[in-house]
Amino acid sequence: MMETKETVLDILEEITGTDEVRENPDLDLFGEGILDSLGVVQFLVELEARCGVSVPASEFDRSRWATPRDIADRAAEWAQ
Amino acid sequence: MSAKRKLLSAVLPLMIAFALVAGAFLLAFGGVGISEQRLNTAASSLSELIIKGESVKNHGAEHPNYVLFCGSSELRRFDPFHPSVLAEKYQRWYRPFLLGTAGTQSMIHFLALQSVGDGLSGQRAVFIISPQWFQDEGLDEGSFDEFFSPIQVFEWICEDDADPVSRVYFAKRMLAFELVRQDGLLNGVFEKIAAGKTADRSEMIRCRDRLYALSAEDRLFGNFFAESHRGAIRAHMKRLPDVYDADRLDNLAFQIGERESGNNEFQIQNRYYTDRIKLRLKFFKGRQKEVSYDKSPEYGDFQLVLNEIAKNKMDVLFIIPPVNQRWAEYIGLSKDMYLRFEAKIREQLLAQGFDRILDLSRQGGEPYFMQDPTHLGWRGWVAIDRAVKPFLEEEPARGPEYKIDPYYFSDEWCGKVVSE
Amino acid sequence: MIFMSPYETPFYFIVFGIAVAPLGLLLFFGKKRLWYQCALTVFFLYMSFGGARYKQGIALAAYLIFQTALATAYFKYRQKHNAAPVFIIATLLAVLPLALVKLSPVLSESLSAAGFLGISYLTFRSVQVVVETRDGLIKEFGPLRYVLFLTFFPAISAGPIDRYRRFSGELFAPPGPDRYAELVGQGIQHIFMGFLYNYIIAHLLGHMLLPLVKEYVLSGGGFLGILYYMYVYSLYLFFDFAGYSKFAIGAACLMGYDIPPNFNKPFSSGNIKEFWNRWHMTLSFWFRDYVYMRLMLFFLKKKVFKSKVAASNLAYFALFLLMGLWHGITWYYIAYGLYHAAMICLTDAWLRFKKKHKDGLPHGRFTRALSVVITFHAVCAGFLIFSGFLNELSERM
Repeated sequence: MMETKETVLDILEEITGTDEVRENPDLDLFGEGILDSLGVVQFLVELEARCGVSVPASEFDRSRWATPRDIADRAAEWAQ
Repeated sequence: MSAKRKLLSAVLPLMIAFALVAGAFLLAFGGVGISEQRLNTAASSLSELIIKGESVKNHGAEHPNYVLFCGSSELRRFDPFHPSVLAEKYQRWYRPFLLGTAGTQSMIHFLALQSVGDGLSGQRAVFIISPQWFQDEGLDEGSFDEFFSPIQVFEWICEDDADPVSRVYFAKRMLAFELVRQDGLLNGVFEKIAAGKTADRSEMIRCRDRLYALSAEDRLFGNFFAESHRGAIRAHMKRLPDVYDADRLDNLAFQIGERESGNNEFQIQNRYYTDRIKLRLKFFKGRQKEVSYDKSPEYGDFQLVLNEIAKNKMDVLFIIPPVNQRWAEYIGLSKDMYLRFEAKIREQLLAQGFDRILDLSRQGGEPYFMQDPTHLGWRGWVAIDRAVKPFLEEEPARGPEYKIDPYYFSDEWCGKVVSE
Repeated sequence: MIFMSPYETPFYFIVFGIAVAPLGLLLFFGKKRLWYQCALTVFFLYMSFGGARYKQGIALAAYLIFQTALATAYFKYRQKHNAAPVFIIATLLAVLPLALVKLSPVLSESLSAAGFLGISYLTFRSVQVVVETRDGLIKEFGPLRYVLFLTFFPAISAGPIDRYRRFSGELFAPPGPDRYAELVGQGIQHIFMGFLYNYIIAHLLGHMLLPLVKEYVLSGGGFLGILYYMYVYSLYLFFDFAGYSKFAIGAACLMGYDIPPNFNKPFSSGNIKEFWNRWHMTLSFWFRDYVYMRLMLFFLKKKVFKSKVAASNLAYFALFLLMGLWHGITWYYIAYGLYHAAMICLTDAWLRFKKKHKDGLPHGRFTRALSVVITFHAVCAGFLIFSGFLNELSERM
C-alpha cells in the first residue's frame, strides 16, 4: 500500500513538473491550475501501467481527488 | 440550532414577505393618489408604462387642464415648437397629455381610450395619424407585445358594452396575436365573442378576478414610470420669443431647421442623419418602392378609435402629416400611393362626420417641415399649432354629430384601393 | 387542469409549493417519501407534457420505455461479460433518439415527432449510466430509480445534469430533519435569486433592451452597435440560464436533493478553461468526463499520437464540435464549437509557455484583472457567433 502511494507521488511529480506535490500533501491541485484534464488522463494511464491499478475516468471526481494526499489515498483504495 | 428553529428561520421571512405583498395589494384598493407635479411629468413622459397603465393616464385624460395628444414617435421629437413647449411657454389653459410612442398604432390607442371610459365624454383631443401605420400587416406582433396591456383588455371584456360589429371585430383582431392566444382564458373568451356568443359565467368571474388583481397592481406601481422630458421642455422654452406670433415662430423654425440640418440634402436633422443614415445611404436608395399604404387591417383598427370617439361624443382634431418629400423621392416611396392613402383616410373620416381635419399631406416639400424621414419637426409643429391654438383656445367646444358606419370594419374597406 | 412548462410563470411556483409541501413535511419528520415522489413526478410531467403538448408526452413515454429497457439489458449483460463492441452499441443506442431528432432537419421532418422538451438532458443522463455501468461503478440498478433519475422534474427540461450514483444515494437515504431544514433555507434563497436573475434581469435585458439594440444595429448601428448587441446578449444569456438553473436547484432543495451547481461566477474567469469550469458546469463536466477524457485515454493507451499536445488538441476539437452539433445543425453553432476549441488550444499553449517562463512574466492583481477582461470579451465574441445574429445581419444586408 505504501508502495502505491509512493508511486502515485512519483507520477504526479513527473506530470506536473513540480516537487510541490511532495512538499505539500494538501495542495489544491485543480484550484491552483497544477493539474488539468490532460494531467488526469496521463495520471490514470501511468497508474495502470506502473501499479496495474485501473481507475475509471468517471470515478475521478475532483472534489474527492483534490490533493496529492486524496489521490494517494483513493488510488490505494482502488489497489485493494 | 434545533431543526425546528432552522426550518422556521428559513420559512418565516417568506411568510412575512407574502403577508406584506398581500397587505400592500389590499391597501391599494383604497387608491393611491398622484400629485399634480407628478401628473405634469407624466403628461410629457411618453413612457410606455403610461399608455399601458390606467390610473395615471385616466387621471390625465379626465383632468380639466390636460388635453390628450394621441400619436406615435413624432411626439418624441421635442424642439422649441413641440406642442408641450408652446403650451407651457405661452401659458395656455391646457397642457398636452402625450399618449403614444414608436409603435403605438390605432389598436393600442383604442385600448387606451376605451379604458378611460366616461372620463372622455365631451372632451377635446388631438390625434396624429401616421401613414406608416397603414402597411400591409398593420400592427406587428412585436409592437403588440410591447404595448399589450392585459388590464385594458380585461376591462373591455368586463364592460362588454360595444356594439355587435365592433365586438366581433375586436375579438377577431385580438386572436390574431400570439400573446393573446397563449393566454388560455383570453383565448377562450375571445373565441366565443368572435363567434358572436358571450363568455361563460365562470370565465367572466375569472376575468373579473384578473382585472381586480391587475387594477391593484396598477394603482401600486402605475406611478413608477421613470422617463421625464421636463428638462428638455424647459430648455427649449428659453429659445422662444416672449410674445406669441405665429409668423415669427415660423421664421424662427426656418432658421433653426436650417442650422440643424446642414449636413445632408434631405433636410434631415444632422444627428439623426449621421447616426442612422449616413453610413448606409446607398442601402436606402429605392428601398421603399414596393411599400404601400393602400390595404391594411389598420383601417379597421382605426375605425375602433373612431367608434370610441363617437361613443364619448369627443371633439377631435385629426392631423394627417406628410412624409419628407426629398427623402421619399430618394427611397422611391410612391407619391401617388401616399396620396391614395390620404384620400382613403379622409373618406373614412368625412363620411362619418369627423370633419375637423388638419391635412398637411401636400406640405412634405416645404422647407424644414419634417425633422427626419417621417417625423414632423420645426415648421411642421408650427403649422400644427396654427390649427391647435384656435381649436383649443378660441372656438367653443361643440357637441359633434357622428354617423358611425360599421362598413369601415369590413375586409372590403380595409382591402380597397381608393383613388385620389 | 392548467398546462405549463417548468418555471414558465410565477403560478408554476405556487403549484409547486402546494404540491411539494406534504413531501417536505414527510421529510422533516424523517418518513419515507418514495411513493409520494412518484405521484409528484407523474403530476408534474402531466402538467408539462399534457394538454396541447400531448404528442411530446407520448414521445417522452416511448423514450423512457426504450432507455429503461436498454439500460436494464446492458446492466444485466455487464454483470457477466464486458465486450467493447456491446458497450459501443449500447452507447450508440442511448444516443440514437436524440441524434434522430437533431438530424430531422437534414434527414426527414417527421423524425422530429420523437422529440420533447428536455430530450438532450435526458440523453446526457442515459449515456452516463451506460458508461458508468461499463466502468463497473454502478453496482445497484433498478428500473424505478432509473426512471426517477431521468425524469427528476425540477431539472428535466434544462439541467443541471445530475449523476446517477449521487442521485440514487439521496433517493434512498433522505436527509434528516436537520439537513432538510438547511436545504429548505438554501432552496428558498436559490428560487428567489432565480426570480431576480430570470424574471427581472434577463427579462429587462432580453425582452426590453435587446430588441432596441437589434433595431439600432439593423438601422445602421455599425460596429459599435454589434459590440453593444454582443454585451447585452451575453449578459442576457447568463442571467436567463443561470436564473433557470437556480430555479431547478432551489426546487430540488425543497424536495430534499442537493443537486450540483451549474454556474459559478463565469464572468470572473481568468481564461477559457476556467470559464468552462464555471459556465454550464454540469454540461461541460459531462463532455469532459465522457468525451474528452475517454478519447484521451484511448489515444494515450494506444499511443495513437506521438505528441500528447496534439492528442489533447484533437480531443478538444472533437468535444467542442460535438457540443456545437448538439446545439443544432447550423453553421453558426458549429462555428461556435470550433471557435471555443481553437480558444482552448491557444489557452493551453499559453499556459505551457507561462509554466516555462514563470519568472520572466509579471504576475499580480493587474495581470489577473486584464486576463478577466480579455476572457470576458473572448467569451462574449463566442456568444455573438452563437446568437445567430451575424447570420441575420448578413442576410439583411
